[in-house]
Amino acid sequence: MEILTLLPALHGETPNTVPYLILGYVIIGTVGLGYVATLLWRQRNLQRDIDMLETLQRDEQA
Amino acid sequence: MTATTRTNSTPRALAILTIFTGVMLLIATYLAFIYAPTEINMGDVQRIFYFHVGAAWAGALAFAVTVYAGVRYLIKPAQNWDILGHSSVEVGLALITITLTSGPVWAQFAWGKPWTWDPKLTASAVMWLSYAAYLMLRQGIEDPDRRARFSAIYGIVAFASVIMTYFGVRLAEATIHPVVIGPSAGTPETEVGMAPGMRVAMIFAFVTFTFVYATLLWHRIRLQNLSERVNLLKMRMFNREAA
Repeated sequence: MEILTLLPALHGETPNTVPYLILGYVIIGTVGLGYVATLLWRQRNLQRDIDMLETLQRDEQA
Repeated sequence: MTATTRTNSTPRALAILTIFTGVMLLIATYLAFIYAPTEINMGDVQRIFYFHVGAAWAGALAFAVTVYAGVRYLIKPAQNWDILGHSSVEVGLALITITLTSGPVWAQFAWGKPWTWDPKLTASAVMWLSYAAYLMLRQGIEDPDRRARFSAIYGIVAFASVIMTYFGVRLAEATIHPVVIGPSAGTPETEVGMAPGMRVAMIFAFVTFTFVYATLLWHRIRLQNLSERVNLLKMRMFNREAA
């Protein structure tokens, strides 16, 4: 496939591709922040488990 | 309570690294959106390349670290190497997901369709699936030693897909994927010429995504350590009840 034949700029001026740019960075942001959110969510759950297990351990020792 | 706080509070170095990486990301965004000139043929959509390629680089780095951790584990088995390898695969997969989901947006404009079974794209998809399988297969192995050994070997073997994606397909003349760095065996249409401003934005994106990887890896390793701590506490409780 000759990719340049598909690019409108060769037939005139630079095309307006801002919507593609915005969509691209929305996807990048969503995937990136989504992964960070899963890290935070898992950390919070593990933290809760640790707190609960340590409380149970202390109660048993008391 | 003191022990809990000491275990889970973010180390000062990690907090600084996280803030620094955030600032780097802001600067990289500025360079990609404003500083770098607009590409004549493609227009603004070309600006996707800076993060697309940066994430691809960091993803490959993550998988290379997994190889290193795997080799170290096989030489001298230690849980730390398994945690490093596992964490690096997860972060790498997230970064490659960024690459694989942002690329089709550019392709939709440039090629008229978001995906083609071009050698480079096919190899990228195989690479993603290989590492997704790594994470799934790990979950299916109960014994920690067997799981770690399997992961070490798998992590080394799976790197073949990375080599294929980044270097192997450069030899394929049939590829239509642009070659941003290094020589290509493809047609002149696949070579990407970069203006100096673009080069600065691209290099900065590479450095930024290296820091993004390092930061996420550190957080992910801490998460794994928390998980190990939960397992240890559960084991202690279980042993006490059994006794």
